[in-house]
Amino acid sequence: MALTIWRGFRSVLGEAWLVAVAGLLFAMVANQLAPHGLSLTRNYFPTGGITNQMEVRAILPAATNRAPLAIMAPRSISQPLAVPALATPKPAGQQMTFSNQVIAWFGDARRLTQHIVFVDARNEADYLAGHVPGAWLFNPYEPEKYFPSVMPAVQAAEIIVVYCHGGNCDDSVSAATLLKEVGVPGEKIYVYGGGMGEWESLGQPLETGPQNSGQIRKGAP
Amino acid sequence: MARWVLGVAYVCMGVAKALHPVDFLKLVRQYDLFHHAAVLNAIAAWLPWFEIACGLFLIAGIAVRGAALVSLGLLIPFTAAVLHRALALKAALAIPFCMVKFDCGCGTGEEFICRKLVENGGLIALSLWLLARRSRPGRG
Repeated sequence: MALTIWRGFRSVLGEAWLVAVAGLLFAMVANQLAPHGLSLTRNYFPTGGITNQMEVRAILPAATNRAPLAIMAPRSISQPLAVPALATPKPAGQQMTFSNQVIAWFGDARRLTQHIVFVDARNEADYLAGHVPGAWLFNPYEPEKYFPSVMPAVQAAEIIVVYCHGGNCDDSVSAATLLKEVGVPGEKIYVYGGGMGEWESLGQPLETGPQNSGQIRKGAP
Repeated sequence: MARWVLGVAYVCMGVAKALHPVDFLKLVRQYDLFHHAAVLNAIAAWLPWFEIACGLFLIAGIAVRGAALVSLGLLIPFTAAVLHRALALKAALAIPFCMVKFDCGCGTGEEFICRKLVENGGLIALSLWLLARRSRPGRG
């Protein structure tokens, strides 16, 4: 009886081993062949995590400025637990900026001459659904795809405002870090922590479709 | 029948994740269990395809008990991780446990935790059932 159970157990273990090895091989090959397969060696989160609270050179909001997103409701409770709920990411070595300043820059004539540029660090689907008018798409998870179009613009600009969804989203910090790594001076890069969530809630204009599509709608507060 | 249900569930969940590996990578990172980039990348890159392979074994009726054991090896730690995160969210947000809702990275989007736990309990029960029965190819 015990021998039978032992044989059965060994048989199951052997099958499990077969499934595990075959499954792993299949997974490795499939990821390699998949068009959106992940690189195993790349650090997709160059900021080292949004809990990093190293040097923060924040441009503090003026007295009349709205508080940063810390007082806004989160987009959902599915936000990362790495930071306390409702917290604003504290990016390492990045300059933060806030809504009043961002709105002022958006209305500045230098934006029309590309001396002030906005960089959207979300994915393409979110970008097409609505972005800051004229913003450049730069998904930090596919930098090689976007560098050719974005680099001339950010190199020529005096002020670069990078944003993502807002809340605990730190893709804007990743994008800013990548831009600095390829030689864009950090002094002119500003991370807008409030992101699209705050921009839209303030009733600011959104452009849908590709860059400069001209399809503008107002954000819904 | 059991292996079909479990197999199809694995294939569907795996495909949903494999189609959007970056989104899955972000979700894996949110668990805050692994911090090394290579480990995070390997989990996010391989786990969806591994689940698909596991599902295909079950659907094909090959090494069903082995696949069921592997399934348990995936489901039990994962359910524990989901539960751990849900408890942390409950404490952080001060809301009833069953009101906790988040995207656990299961390939099914945001779900209420109680529903997720019931689903995982069902999948664990199916895996145990397949593991306990004698292997008879061609039968569920």
